[in-house]
Amino acid sequence: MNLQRNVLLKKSLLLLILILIILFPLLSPSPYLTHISILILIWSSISTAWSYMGRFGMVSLCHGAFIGIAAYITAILFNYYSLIPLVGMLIGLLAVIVVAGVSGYACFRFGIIGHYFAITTLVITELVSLVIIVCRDITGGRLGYTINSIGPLPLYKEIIYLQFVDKTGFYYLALVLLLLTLYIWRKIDKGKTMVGLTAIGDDEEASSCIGLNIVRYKTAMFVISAAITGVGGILYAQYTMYLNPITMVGAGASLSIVFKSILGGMFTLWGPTIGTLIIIAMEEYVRVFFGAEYIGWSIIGYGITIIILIIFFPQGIYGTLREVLSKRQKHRIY
Amino acid sequence: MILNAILNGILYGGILALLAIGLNLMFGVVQIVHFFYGQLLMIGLYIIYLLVVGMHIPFFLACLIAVATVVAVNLLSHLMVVNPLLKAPLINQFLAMAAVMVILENLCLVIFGATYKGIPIILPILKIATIYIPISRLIAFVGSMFFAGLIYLFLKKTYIGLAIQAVSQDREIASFMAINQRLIYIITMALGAALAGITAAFFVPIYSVHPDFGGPFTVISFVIVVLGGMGNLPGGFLAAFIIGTVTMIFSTLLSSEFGAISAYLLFLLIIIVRPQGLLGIRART
Amino acid sequence: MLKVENVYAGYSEYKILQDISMEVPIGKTIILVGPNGAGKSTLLKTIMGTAKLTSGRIYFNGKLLNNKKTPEIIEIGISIVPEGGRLFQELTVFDNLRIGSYPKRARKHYREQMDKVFQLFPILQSRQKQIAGSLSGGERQMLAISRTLMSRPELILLDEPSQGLAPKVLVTLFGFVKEIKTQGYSLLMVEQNMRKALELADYAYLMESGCIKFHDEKTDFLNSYSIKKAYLGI
Repeated sequence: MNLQRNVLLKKSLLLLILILIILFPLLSPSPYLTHISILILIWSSISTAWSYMGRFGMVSLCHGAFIGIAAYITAILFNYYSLIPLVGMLIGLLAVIVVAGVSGYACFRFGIIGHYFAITTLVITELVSLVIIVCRDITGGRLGYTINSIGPLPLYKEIIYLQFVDKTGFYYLALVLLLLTLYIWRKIDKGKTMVGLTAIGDDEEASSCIGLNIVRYKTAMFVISAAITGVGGILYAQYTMYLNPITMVGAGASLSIVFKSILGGMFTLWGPTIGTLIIIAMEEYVRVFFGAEYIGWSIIGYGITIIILIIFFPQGIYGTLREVLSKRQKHRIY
Repeated sequence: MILNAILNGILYGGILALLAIGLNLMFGVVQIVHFFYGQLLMIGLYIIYLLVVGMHIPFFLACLIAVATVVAVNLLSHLMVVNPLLKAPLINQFLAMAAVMVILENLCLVIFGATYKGIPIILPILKIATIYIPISRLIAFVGSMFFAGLIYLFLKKTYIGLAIQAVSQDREIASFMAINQRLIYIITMALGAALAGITAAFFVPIYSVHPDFGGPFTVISFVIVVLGGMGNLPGGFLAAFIIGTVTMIFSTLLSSEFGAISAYLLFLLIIIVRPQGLLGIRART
Repeated sequence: MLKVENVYAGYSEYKILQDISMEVPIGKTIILVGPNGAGKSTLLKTIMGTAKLTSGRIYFNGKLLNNKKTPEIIEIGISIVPEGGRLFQELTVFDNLRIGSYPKRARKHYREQMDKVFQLFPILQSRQKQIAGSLSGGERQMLAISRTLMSRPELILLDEPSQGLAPKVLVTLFGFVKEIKTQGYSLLMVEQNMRKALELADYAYLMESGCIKFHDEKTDFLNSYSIKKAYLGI
């Protein structure tokens, strides 16, 4: 009886939170709060998408590259050829899928795993970043790239151009993306592929004997992860109207995605989201109360936190909490 | 002009070779992928800057202190971060070291600021026919080769050096030789860091330092080490020259970004064709 | 010299060795025989400190060895020729020997020791500069034994020295062991090849399932009915 009531309680609480989140913009919060929420939603999606790979031991450091490829292509096609971003986005995503598919397949097919995989993805992300910098005539190089503003438009046109004057539009798009990302996470978790991929996570060499299917699984996972990251990247670029190869594409950008994911716990559904929330909240807190020059300290802070977590609580903040709580629950039932 | 690039490339490769040795030693012995190696280089440069420009300490003394500091930083990280994670999955080690990298970079950012800090030591450029050789790079090359030679002698002729080789080949049996594994780890980490510190000293007349200085060097060092076969010292040595030359050629012909791009492309190409590296054996991760 | 008293040991909670008591008197050659998985290698590893001793005592010349670290045990005077030789494949013959004299007790005398080894095994001297991985099976075992000798041990443990060797080479191998025996070293040898091993033994123990089932002087051991029963009854 107690157990049923607990589950019901938990579910209704979640539903309540979900409703609040959906209705949030309509409660006229401050623009700043909406801004933060959008950032959290977008980066949570990207971090969760990253964790598709991370939880199975495939540390990809090139998710920044996917952001860059998708966002830059969409932005450039719009600025130069007036191609509406809704369509440009598809081309950007196609490019990301091709890059992820090819590099993923190449790596997994030839047994580039573990450290080698991480370093290879690191090289890929730096390569993309450098290519963007080198094509400075088109992309603006290190100085960054601004998306042309369209000005006020009716709502349906705003969607096509992915430019919303009122942040609400971005909020809902980001929310949809996050829900989609979480849904896909669930699907992967419960699906058949889960068994195969866990095997990979536990012992890559042993499972590589199982055959070509593993390569296909991994590549598919990589592509899906990359595609969602691409969408998130495009959304972020369209929201801030600005792209930069150093802050969005390179190794640093990729690492920040990784950290958001593992801080919360990359093995759980909500872990990456919680991690993102904590990190963004912390950064904003420091920015507001101490000034932007002190962001460095907040980064040092969460760097130290991550090290402590990795050594003592490898499940991440949320993951460990969940374990602790579920152990307590077990005691209560008996 | 190509000849110029090739020659300078060889000089550059020689400098990178020292970094590759450091990484390979640490990977071979402690079995870690030292993700913040480039940042150790950066710290070395910052310390020298601080001592020479900020406190007017003579250059050579500053270099010695810098090497000692870099070694201390690495040993501290070894004890606090690497050691606890030696038995953990490799991804944990990797990520923890990435975290240390981020911490070190941002520490330098808040302490020194984002602007480039250079030490005003200007060395002449040698001109032989149509070839320009910066003396700073020549000194760095000769110095690196000197220290590489020292390391070689150390590894081959001393007991500790032999012990380091033994541990990297078969750590279980090494303990049957009365080798204290922990001690060898510490010595290797100190050695690896020292090489980074020494390279920093040679970098002083060549580069200005800034908080993002370490990143590209970490990446290029990894490229070299993986190319030569992780843990493979002769492989890394050879790969350093190859990467150095390729980078220099494209840097000179096009731009420094293209130098890096060419090195990365070369890496991607080779890693697909020959994942164990040029001279490497298939590593068991 | 070596006294093992009521030792229980293993790698985790599961104890492989159950109440083992045995000893190696000075200058004698003791053989451990028994089927696979009997725990013979584990006993050697426990003495060397790589397997965990949970209960009991091990004494060497009166000193208590319990759970001392391996490097310490070697410094005290026990060395092991591991199963399969386990040479440092990428080092030369010379370097393999040299690393054998790493323990402080052996360093000063390494030249002396190396001359002794080369006298015993002239082939090694001629192959000094060769990479260990390129040696033949018999030469490798020779090198493995020599490497252990370089540490100037008083007691030498041998873990299945004949493993993986061709029959012809076996004869030579046991010849080496005999040679070492005559040099005055105390030996504790684990061997599957019981017949050959017993030729060298002063005393033998039969182990099975982590216990010592039987032990006796060499001559009686050979003829014992229990032995035949133990082996046939597996």
